[in-house]
Amino acid sequence: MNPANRSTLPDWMIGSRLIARDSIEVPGWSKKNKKLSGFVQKTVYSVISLLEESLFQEHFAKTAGLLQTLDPRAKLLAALALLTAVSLLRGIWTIWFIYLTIFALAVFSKINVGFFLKRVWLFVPLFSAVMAIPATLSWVTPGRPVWMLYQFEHELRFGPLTLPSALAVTDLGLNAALLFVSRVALSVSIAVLLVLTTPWQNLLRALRVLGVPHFFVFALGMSYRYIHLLLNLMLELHFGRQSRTLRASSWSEDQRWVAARMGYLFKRSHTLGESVYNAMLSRGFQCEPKIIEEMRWKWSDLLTSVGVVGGCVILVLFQPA
Amino acid sequence: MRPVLKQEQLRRAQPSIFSLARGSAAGLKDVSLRIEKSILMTSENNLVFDVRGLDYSYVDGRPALCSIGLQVNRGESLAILGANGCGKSTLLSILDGLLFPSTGTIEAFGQLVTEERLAKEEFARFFRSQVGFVFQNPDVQLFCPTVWEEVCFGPLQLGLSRDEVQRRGRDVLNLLGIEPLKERAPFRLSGGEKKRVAIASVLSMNPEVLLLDEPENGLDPRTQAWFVEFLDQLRTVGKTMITATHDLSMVDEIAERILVLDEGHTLVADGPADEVLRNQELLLKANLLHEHFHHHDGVSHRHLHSHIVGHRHSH
Repeated sequence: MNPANRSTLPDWMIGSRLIARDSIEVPGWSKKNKKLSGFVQKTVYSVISLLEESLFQEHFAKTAGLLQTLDPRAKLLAALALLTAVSLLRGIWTIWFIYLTIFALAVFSKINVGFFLKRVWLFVPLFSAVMAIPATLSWVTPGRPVWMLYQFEHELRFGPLTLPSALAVTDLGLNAALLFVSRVALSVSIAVLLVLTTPWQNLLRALRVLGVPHFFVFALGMSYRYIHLLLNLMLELHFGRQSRTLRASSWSEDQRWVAARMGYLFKRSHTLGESVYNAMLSRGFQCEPKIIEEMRWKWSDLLTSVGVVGGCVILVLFQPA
Repeated sequence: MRPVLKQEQLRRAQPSIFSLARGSAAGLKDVSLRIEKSILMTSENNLVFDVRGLDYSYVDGRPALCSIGLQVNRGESLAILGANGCGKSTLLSILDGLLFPSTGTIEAFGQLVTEERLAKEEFARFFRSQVGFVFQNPDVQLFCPTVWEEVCFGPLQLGLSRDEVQRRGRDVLNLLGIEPLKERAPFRLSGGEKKRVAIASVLSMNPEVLLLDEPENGLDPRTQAWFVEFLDQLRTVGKTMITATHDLSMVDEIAERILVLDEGHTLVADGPADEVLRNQELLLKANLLHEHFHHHDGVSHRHLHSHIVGHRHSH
């Protein structure tokens, strides 16, 4: 360091100050090896990895598999027909037959089986099984008891509501819950398979087939694109904090920090939105986006859509009463 | 020394630039646009921009630009020099009709540019087809799902035929050497690639005027050298180029005329590039040069320092 520059620096900055590891004192810092920013770090990493995995992972979509060769519009039409049929089908065996077909399609499309099952069966218990459990009980779905849970001495009265004295899992309740969970599992499988085998931008373009307005598709595409940018910003904010963190922060400090960053990200996304709109205006955008579409229907696409839609109609119309 | 492009790149680039330039009038299918085009061709004094008494303040009242007056002629290559925060980007945004002056007027191609006029489709199409803006931050500019859609976005908004849009898209991808990126998502690209795509997305509209906001930002030296060479090619086909920068090392290669904005947000110089760059007192005042502490041969001393044309020192 030259002497002239040294004179402009404050005293505390001059000279080498290598500190022994055990001599540093930070207010509120304990010498126990506490974890730094556990809550924030876990939250940030989890959010980023979940979104990265579910939105930006296009590894399988670019693999040469069976479904990847189909036009996204054909896949979307087929998926919608299947989803509608699943919600109308009453036979559990039919639903599981379709599930096995979907599973086979995933295998032929070179989707990692473990990854596919995890994506489906992690969501199913979370969003459906928990909700389906009350439906198995005799208080919600009367029927033949298959498993007695509790026998009260007399009927229970809650105002105008009267509940039977026996609380049991019923056969009809189990059947209803199983049907519900099966429908959800199959629907999630169809959606996951569609998303895994189709690049996101092609999927958005395929939405046009359903007559979804250009503007909506365009806005959806932009949201997808800017989620990525904001995710990176969130990660940088976290790194910025972590690189200056010397002591483990308290739960409330972490919560305050997260809340403040959420506000900052909101403001930042607002500014970003304005800039992007300006960039669009600059390139002639007049609130009516025009998109270049280059997808072409092949015979195989036509046959797939007609076949799946027709099959679904037959399954629904001719199912046993 | 001016960087040299690979022969193959030059061979590919040169015809494409000319073909894009030729295609500009042919691609405009709207009659009103042709009328405006004829206004453009015959506009008095060949003036592209005429800015008079321009002031601009931010929402909180802080001044961004004060009493700016300038004229830009067709085919000129112009650099706006200034330190950070002096108003360069704001001036470019005003020239692109994205911001509007608090006081003063701006005319483009002999037509007054106001918020009301730009709200009308006919004028907006004319103006946007003639003025292209490469933003400082390519992340702002690249909003389409793929590079291909990005380069086709502008021509599609202009109402060009699908064939013409695709031809232009292919040409600019080849011109900028980004054909392999065609199906990639822009946000997945590197900084240099993003910048190329941003330039391609504007060039596909074939504007007469290119506004470039700190284009050298975030580019590695090789891409920067390529970029300087590329701008030179655009200059040879008669494009008007206005570049905002604070990088003195490349300014004399991309501009024949230089405007200097000082930290008071006023225009303090407007003249030929070599003349302005020789005025070290002016550059020091505008915070574009700095006093550099130097230590060599056992002697420590200060002198003015810049990176104008191969690291000139004045001892």
